[in-house]
Amino acid sequence: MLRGIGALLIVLAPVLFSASAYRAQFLNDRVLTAFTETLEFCAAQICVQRRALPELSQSMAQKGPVVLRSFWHAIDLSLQKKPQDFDQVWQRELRRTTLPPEAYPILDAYPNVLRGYDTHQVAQALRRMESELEACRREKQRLFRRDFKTRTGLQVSAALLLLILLF
Amino acid sequence: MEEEKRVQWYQNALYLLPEHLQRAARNCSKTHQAEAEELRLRMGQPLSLLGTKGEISLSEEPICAQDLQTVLDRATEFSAYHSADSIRRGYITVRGGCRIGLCGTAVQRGGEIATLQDLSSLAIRIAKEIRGSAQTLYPLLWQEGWFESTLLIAPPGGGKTTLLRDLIRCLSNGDGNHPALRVSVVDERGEIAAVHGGCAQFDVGAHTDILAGTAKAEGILMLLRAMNPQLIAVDEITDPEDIRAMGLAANCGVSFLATVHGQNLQEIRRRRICRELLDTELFHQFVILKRSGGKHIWQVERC
Repeated sequence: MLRGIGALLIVLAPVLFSASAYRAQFLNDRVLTAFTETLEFCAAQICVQRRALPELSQSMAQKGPVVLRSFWHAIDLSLQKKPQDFDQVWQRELRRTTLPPEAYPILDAYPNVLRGYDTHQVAQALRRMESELEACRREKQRLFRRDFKTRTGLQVSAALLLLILLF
Repeated sequence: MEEEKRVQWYQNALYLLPEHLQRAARNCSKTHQAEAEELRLRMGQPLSLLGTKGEISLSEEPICAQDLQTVLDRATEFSAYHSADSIRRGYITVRGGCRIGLCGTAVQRGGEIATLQDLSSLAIRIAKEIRGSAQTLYPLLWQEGWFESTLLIAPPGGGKTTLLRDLIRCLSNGDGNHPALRVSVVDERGEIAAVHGGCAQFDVGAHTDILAGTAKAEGILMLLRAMNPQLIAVDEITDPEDIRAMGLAANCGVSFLATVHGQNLQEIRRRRICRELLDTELFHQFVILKRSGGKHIWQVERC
């Protein structure tokens, strides 16, 4: 009986570890994808309709990617309550979102980009941020795939060894 | 009551300032707050308040570049590109109707000002809405059941826009003795009605259509084609193109309510643009605004 439970744990452990790592990567990837979509949307809205930040955040909170709606909603609320420095609001809300550390410096530039006077330059800067974020997402994906294979391989080998020892 | 209202307008404008300057601005006396016309921020100088008796300093610490940037950020709602056209012309009209005048280094592109950079001073003009300020003047501007085109003449800060706004409200709503008119407003700088999100933040009457953010000459012709107005109101005539457009509209039977900078009729006659305006014979009725003992007084002249 004990041997059976032990064997089950040995088999389940790598499966659970892999599932948890895969889930974390999936969530990170989803948030990064949502941010790239957001940047593209903002660039288009600024270029075509010259929308200001309050309108942008309102529309993102209602129609933007689902994962980021609460993020934009919090920004919208902060801006409505009383005038605050947008840099601080953005940094605070961004730090509450789970992202890979490499993505923060890219997104931190957002408030400063909006200070540009030329809509086309602002849109261009946003698209540049979008492509940097997309590159970061791809790199993260590539590293995850590589590490996932190595880690899962090691875990399966260890599990097999333990099973052999057990029986 | 009136003082309380004036203090409230002053306080409403303070949200534009950084927190430490807000505190300094709130610390001045209620009398100064009520009399405030502008808040002035100059790089390296203390924050000052322009009232009826001149400028007074509100703080000891000098204004820095970050303070000016904060005001600009708040005025543009953190989206400078949104107000780029306005910044190019040297001012921004913010939510609530306050106007911020900008000074800095002009960046030229193709012979035109592309933008302003390295801001050096800002003047926050406090928006005021005095309902009823035109109540006694309004009936005097009608001749035999018709509203006669009227030109308001006053020096800068003389209360032209405030009186114009209340006259628009009166004309648009009408009263027992005078019918309500379809009033169209060309609000080039957004000071008359302070439209935000399609909604006027000042009361300009029930039958008023507002065209905001466009040049007066272009706006007058657009309104003429689109809105079939009985009266068009414009603030501060400064361009020969405006006068030409007004002439065209007048030929279609539209009355005008307009303002110009000046001391009196004789003084404005000496200026080429104003002489051109008077020569069109669009206006035979003038309201001259003056300040006496801290109060605005007006007188009607006809010729």
